[in-house]
Amino acid sequence: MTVRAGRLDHLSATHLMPRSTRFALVLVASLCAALPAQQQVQQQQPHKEPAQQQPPTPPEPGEQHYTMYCASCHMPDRFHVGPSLIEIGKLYGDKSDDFVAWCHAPQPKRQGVIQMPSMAHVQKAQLLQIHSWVVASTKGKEEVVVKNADRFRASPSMRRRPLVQRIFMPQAGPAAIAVAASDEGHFCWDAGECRLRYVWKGDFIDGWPVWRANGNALAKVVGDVLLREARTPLPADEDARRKFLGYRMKDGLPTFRYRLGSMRVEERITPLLDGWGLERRFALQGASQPVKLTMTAAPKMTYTSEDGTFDGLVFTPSKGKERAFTIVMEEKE
Amino acid sequence: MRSWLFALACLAGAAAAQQDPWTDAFTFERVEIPPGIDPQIGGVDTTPSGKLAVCFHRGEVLIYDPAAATWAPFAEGLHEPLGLLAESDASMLVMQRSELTRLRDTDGDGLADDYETVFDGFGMSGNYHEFGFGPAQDADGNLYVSLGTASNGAGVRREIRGPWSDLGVPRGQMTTGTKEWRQVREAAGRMYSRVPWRGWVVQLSPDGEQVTPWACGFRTPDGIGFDADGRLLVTDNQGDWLGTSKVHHVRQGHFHGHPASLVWREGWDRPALEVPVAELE
Repeated sequence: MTVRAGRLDHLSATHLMPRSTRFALVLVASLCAALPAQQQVQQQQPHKEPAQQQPPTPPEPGEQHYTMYCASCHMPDRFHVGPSLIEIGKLYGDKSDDFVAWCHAPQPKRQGVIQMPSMAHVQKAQLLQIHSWVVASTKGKEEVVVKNADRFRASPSMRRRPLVQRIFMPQAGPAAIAVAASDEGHFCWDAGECRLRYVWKGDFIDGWPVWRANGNALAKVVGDVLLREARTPLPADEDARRKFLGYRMKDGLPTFRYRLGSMRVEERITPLLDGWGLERRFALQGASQPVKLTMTAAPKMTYTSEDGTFDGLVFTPSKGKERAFTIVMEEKE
Repeated sequence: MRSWLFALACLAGAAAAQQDPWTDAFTFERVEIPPGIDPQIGGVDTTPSGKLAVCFHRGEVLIYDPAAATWAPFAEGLHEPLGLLAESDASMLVMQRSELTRLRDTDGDGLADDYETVFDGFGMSGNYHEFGFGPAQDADGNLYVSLGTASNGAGVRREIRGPWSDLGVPRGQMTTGTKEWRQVREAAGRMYSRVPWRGWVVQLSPDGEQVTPWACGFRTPDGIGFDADGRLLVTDNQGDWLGTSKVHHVRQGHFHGHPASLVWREGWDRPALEVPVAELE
């Protein structure tokens, strides 16, 4: 989650909270909205203590819808993935129909900024509520000028998924490759050691610490690391020769190729089509004998394969699959 | 009369030649950087078809078509690419922090789909100042890259790539951000070369297989190329041991003035800072 510093005094602090907190608040707000009916029921029954506590004022419907549908890309007071509410308020102040039309059928508009997805799933009445809340709550306000902010963090070349980015990464060698395999599944692959280093779930990386100046910093992993591999799962002595040969891009994702001892290896990590998880495909040439893989114990992940059997963490490919097999890595329920 | 006119023409020609010979050599044109791209440019080359191939700070390689005034993406995700050589419109060599890479569009869709590691046989301590530059290509197709030294503005990472030279402050004290590092940073040298070929120009055979450390004594050799007479020229960046930025004519086996890289000379056995100035000269 991005840290969102600064605030507009007249806007509720909910916008500045992490998204999960905001969702929780929406839930609370929904419960609060349901409360009056409950109180009516209670009033018909005798009760000892009078209701003395006022429930917190629920956010306006427009604000609730904003939190649900818009807040991940639009911040109240500054440009984020898309324009700020202040800018939107200025653009659409007296043009609510244009606002609704745009939300339902957005077009490519700003150069260098990712195109907004259609909000066709949000009803016109709700969009009108969002519009009136945005206009009312931003009237007369000016955007916050953020110093040292990454002007390009929202640009398509940064936000597109999948994405490959070589950059200095934490807890990896200096020749690291960060890969956003999907919206939420990412991994760090080390071209120096020719092996996967770790897998995480979240919003990929923040490269600004490296890019903002001379590179004397590491990129930040944004999310939760689910797996850290201690060594290559392939059979190799500590001092086995490793040589990185490069990668081939297919569907936006790399197939790494390298030499490991006597073997020539291709390794490709792709997202699962459904559910959170990654599929890891190995293709081997030149193995002197049938290989067994030793996976790293991962409390947060499970390993499965249709191409062989697991005995604990040791994977043995089935007959006929010794040279090419896939291991599925999924987050433990 | 005829000969007099001829002499006059010659005089006029000589007078013209004495004027600024660069007058018609080039023109300036403003090219808008494509939107959404961090505009810090690391390398530029013209492709055989006259397009402009450019690599950027965050690893994009884009191709500019001057006729249509349009940009097209070619590659992305490289680590601080600081040099580019367009072999063709569909194949580029790019020097990034970690390696010399050949980017190839093999399916003709205009985008590189193959990122081939041509040369990564040099060390990375993880120090931010270890930039890589080049490549330049000689008439025989050999490639030359130049490698910057590390700065004592930082130490080295816990994980490094390549062997470590023991000639100098022990590695265990040089981990960046630690108290030990702050105590030894002066002793480490203003710029240091503790992993291979830092402060060197390295020659590669055309296929990248044969690696020849070519010349040393560089600090941050940030420009490399050949002149019309086939001389290898390298610019080096001002700093310690370099009172000013200068252009070196680089020849095999020569030492070019900055001592840090000497630790990687064959048979060398002393920390670079222990070499007397007289000997360096």
